[in-house]
Parts: sequence; C-alpha cells; structure tokens
Amino acid sequence: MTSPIRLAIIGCGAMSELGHLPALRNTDAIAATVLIDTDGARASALAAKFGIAHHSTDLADAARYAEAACVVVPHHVHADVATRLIDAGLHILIEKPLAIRLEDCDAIIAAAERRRVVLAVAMVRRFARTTRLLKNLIEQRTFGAARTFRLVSGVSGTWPTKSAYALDAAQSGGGVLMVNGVHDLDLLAALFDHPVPESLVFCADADFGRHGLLESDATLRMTTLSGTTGEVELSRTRDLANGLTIEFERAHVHAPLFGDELTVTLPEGAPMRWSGRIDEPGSTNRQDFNAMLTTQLDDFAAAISGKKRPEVDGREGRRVIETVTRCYADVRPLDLPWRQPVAVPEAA
Amino acid sequence: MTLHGKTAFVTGGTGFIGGRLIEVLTAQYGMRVRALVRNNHATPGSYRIAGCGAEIFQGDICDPQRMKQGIAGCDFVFHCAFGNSGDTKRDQLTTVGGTQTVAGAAGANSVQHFVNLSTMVVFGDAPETADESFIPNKLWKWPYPHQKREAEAAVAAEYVRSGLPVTTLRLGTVYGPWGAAFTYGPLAALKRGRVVLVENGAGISNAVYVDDVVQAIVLAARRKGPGPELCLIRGPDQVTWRQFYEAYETMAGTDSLVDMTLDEVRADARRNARAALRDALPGALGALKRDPEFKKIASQLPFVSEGWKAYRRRRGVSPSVMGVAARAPAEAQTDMRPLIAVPEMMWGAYASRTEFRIDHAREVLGYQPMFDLARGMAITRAWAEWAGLIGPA
Repeated sequence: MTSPIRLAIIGCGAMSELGHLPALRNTDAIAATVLIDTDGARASALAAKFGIAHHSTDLADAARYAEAACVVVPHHVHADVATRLIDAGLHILIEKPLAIRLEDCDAIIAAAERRRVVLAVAMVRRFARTTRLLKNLIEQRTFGAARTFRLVSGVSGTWPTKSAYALDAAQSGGGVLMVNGVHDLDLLAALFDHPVPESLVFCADADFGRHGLLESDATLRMTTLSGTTGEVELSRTRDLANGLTIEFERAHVHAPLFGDELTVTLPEGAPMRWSGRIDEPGSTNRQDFNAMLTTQLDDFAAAISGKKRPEVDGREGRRVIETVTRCYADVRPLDLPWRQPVAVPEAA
Repeated sequence: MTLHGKTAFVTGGTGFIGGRLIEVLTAQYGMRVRALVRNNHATPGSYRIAGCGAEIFQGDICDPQRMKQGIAGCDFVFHCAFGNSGDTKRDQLTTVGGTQTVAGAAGANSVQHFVNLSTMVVFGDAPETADESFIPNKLWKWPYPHQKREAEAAVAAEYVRSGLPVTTLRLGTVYGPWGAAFTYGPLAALKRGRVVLVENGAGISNAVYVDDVVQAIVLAARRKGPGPELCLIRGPDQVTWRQFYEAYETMAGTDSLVDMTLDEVRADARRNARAALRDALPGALGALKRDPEFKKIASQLPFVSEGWKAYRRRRGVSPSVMGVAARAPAEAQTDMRPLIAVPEMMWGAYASRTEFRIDHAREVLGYQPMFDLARGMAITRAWAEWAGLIGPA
C-alpha cells in the first residue's frame, strides 16, 4: 500500500474547518500534514483539533512538509499564493474561483504548465451523483434532447467566515455570481457545455459603484454551446428551491442541488411521476457535502498519481471566469419594487 | 442640513430598518456609510449592505474605544441596534450599555446629528390617544420596553453632557421587506398554525411601513432646531391588529386567525402549562423512580407509593386537549393545528387601544407618511413572493 500524498492546507478559515479537513478523514489517498495561515493561533488551533502534525504562518513551509496544497484563501490572493506554491513544485487543488481576473487565471495556468504540476479547481458539484446521472441522461438522450433548463440556487444562512473578504468587492471579485454562482455555471458547463458569450443576459440587485459589484441576488439567461437555453436564479439572501430542472423532449427531470434524489415527470398524454434516490454500487450511504469533498480529494490524488486528469482543470476553471467577466461587463438591474427611492419631503 | 456626500455611522445596519436605511443613504444621498457589525460572518444582512457599498466595521458596541474609532470622521450617527438575543442580561448590555457607548462616542466626535430609534411600547398602558407628552405610569412586564427607556435616557444624558444634537424616534409596529418580528414572524406563524388575535384583534397596531420610518430618520437627521427632540412615528392610517394580521392571512392564503379575549388567552395559556406539566411529569417521575437513592428513601415513606398509584389512575382519564381555544369557532375546535399566541408579557401591548398621534413629527420634522396599510402590504406581498415565503398570487 502506497503512503498517502502529503497535503498542505493553505488558509484556515471556515471552509477548511467545516469542509476540507473533515473530508480528509475519509480518504487514505491524501492526508493533511501542515496547516498554514497568516493567523498563527488559528492554524495552531485547527492543527490541534484535527491532529495535524505541523502548522505555520510561512507559505514556504508548505513545500517542507507536503507535495500538494489545497488553497483556501480569499479570492484576491489566489494568483499570488497559487503561483508561489506551484513555483515551489507543489500540485494544487484551488478553491473556486480559480482567480477573479482572467490574467490571474492565465498566470496560474501558465505556472502549472511550466512546472508540470497538477492544477485542479474545486468545483464540488461535479462529484454529485445527480450530476453524473444527469450527464449520462443528456449524453445518451434517454428522454430525447435537452431543450431547456432552470437552475435555482439560493441559501440565506450564515457562513461563519473568519475574514470579511466576501463583503469586500476588491477581495471577493464580485457577489453571488463570483462567490456561489461559479458552482452553478460549472455544473451547467459539465452538463451542457459553456454558454454562448453573446447569449448572456445578467441582471443583479446592485451595480458598480465606487465599491465594485457585490450583488446578492441575480438572474442569468443563456444559451449553451450545445444549444440548450435556460435561466439561472441566484441568491445569498433567500432560501430558494435549490434544484435543476431539465426539460427533455420526452420528460422533465428535476434534481436537487444538495441531495441524491431525482424526479422524472412524463409529459401530458402519459402523465407519470417517479422519484427516487440514486445509489452507487458498493455504497449505500447518502452522499452529503462532506462525501462529495472526499471524492474531490480522491480525484485530485488520482490526478497527482498520473491515473487521470483532474475533473476540473485550470482551463475549465478559467472558462467559468470568462462567463462571470462577461456578465459583470453588462449588468442590468433586477426589477425590485421594494427598492424604489423613498420620497422625503422638504424639512419642516 | 444636507446629507448628500456626507458620512454616516450606522448601528444595526444588518437588520431590517438599518438595512433599508443604508440602501437609501447610499443610493439616494450618495453617503459614505460605515456599518457596525458584531463579527465577520457572512449573513444575508451583511451581504445586503455590502452590496450598497457600506464599509463593514467590525466591533463590539460596548467598546468605547472601538466606537470612537468607528464614528471618527462621521457626520451622522444612526443608531438602530438593540439587543435581540432573548437573554435579558445580554440584551440589557447591548441595548442600554451599547446606546450609552455609541452616544458617548458620537458626543466625543461632535457629530452633526444622532438619530436614536426607540419604540412606542415604552409608553406601556396609555389612554385611547396619546402623544409625546404622555408620561407612562404602567409599563409592560417585558424587558424590551424597559431597556429602550433606559437607552433613551442615556441619549438624553449625552445631550446634557456634550450638547450632542439628538432626535429619538419612537416607532410603531414596523413592517415591510426583510422585517423580522412583523413580517417574517406573522407569515411563519400563519404557516405553522392558528394565530391568536388577542382581544379579538381590536387593539391598535400603530403599523408603519419601513420606508416611512426611513423618511422620518432622514428628516430627523436634517432637523436644524435646537435641543433634543422626541417624535412618534406610525403610518398614515389607524390599523387594528386584526387588519394587520388579516393582510398577512390573505397573503399566505390561509384561514388561520382565531379571535380570543384576554381572559380566553389567559385560560388557554394555563391549560397549555398544565398539559405541558402533565406530559413532562411521567418522564421526570420515572427518572426519579430509577434513582437508587430515591428508591431507598421512598420505600420508607408509604404515602409516596400511594400517591404514585393515584397519579397513574388520574392520568388515564384526563387527556390533554392542548391548543384548542375555549370559544374558538366551531370549525376551529376540530382544527388540530397548534394555537400560536404572543408571550404573556406582550398581551398588554397587543390589547392596547392607544392610537399614538404623530402631529409633532409632522410639525417638527415635516413627516408625511405615504404608505397606508394597503400600499405597504402590496409591496410586502411582492417581496414575500420573491423571497419564497408565499406562493404566487
């Protein structure tokens, strides 16, 4: 049995604590050996909590203790941190988005190609059973061609971020589309290919001010390169239905964004509805977020071992940022009647 | 006094009124807003104000140095924060101590105006009509109004100490998009069960749509007059609690309101308390019976085992009828959805028939409320549908 790939976790915020570190417990292929954060106390606390041997505030220590790194830092420093790690010879699994500017994406990709290391972008929905089954239904044309889709994605809960990067456009690079919507765009790309650039119609609840764009609610209409048209509704202030509905020629198929179930509705004339859970051979467990993250880590480990390409490589990650960039270049206002100006009379 | 291009410090900016205020200050007045937040957590409220371009300022409202840093360079302070944790001690600290700290920091920074948000419930029991001159003599037995009164006093004390220009707005029942207590709350309750209208809903709600509140806040900040001011703020129409809740009932498409007099609400609460005790008692006694120490002592006390037998006999013949109102409509008596009533400490406020007058706000601020219940609820409905709280009309 080969020893696990040694992994450095770069950034000890909420995603590392609640996502990657718990997910690492469920794989033998890869193991965290060092935690690095600019906040030494935080790195130390998480190292103690998860039993990690080393922690540091120095990025250079990544190469000392590991041959791969998982980059979980605020978006605006992705390019700097990732290229330094790549230059030190580490394989990289980088949290989405790859970077917030296309030139930064290019710099990371070029560095990885130059050093011949694996560059994987964390787009965890690729690993959902529903995604794989939907992809199969589309490719096999089981219910005929996919005509339209509607993706609804919105969660209003609190995410215990350690830094306020998501509330600063300069750090996050944008709002709900950049921070959350990249997952949805990647999911659609996996199923239908990327959007035709000219087809994009993006509406948001905010526009560019002196502070940049930090939209919380948005809609997006598009036609994909495979010819399917559809719309996406995004929110980080509302709890939406969180699902993807695809209208095929002979059926409607609905999959939740978080969950294993699939519902197939046959059209009028043969009105029938079937709902069920997707299982995988050899696994009877429900696939939760944590399990998807473990599959993603296994995929990264397999890519490092030369067994396959990573599910989402740098070029795929860049194409999502191309779409985001195009959307942000032409923002239209959402129609929200409750955001009308308040009439204020002249003072008494 | 103009607000255009000025800088504001807003407490409670991630909340309902503060959030809407920041939208208006940034979009309509081009103001730079620094918004106080407790932590860096990403919440719907913090996303909402960050989207408006507000600077997120993390700090403890009771930390004088931090508040001075936050208010430094600001022209206005809009104080919307209050303790809402439900923990009385903690809320006292936030609402009273926090107000004292923020007002002190505003005084030290010589801001142009300090607008303090308070509430009409500080009046307690009042006559059928009342205005700012009414002196309360019977407060509700509820920590919130007491804390808000103390907070008002802290602001007034800062005026005396430093001459800080202050306006306190005592608000009625504020509702509208993103509202917690009077928008999410009623809609959630109506979905969950049958909602009790205390005193058959005849009490006066003094409802006010959030944009009218923001209008009053902006007017207060622009006020030029000397000395501190206190103004009551409600909507243009007199709205009973029945009308208020019926608007939400229509929105939710349910038939869920139940009329009850105050006596009936009291009787129901007593019934529920007894039923809850009955339900908890077997478990508690069972645990006690399993305790070896208790068994040893109880075996020497004959009346304990006799009492236990008697209790078990009675339990079998007194089923709990939780949540069914004594005089609820006949169809409601077979309706087994839970009965939801506001906590006892708030009954007085819901039964109150006091219509608070807003003439003073009209006179000194130029306040002109624009949203009657129908208009305010129409917008609230559009929002609730968008937010997924109700189905399409």
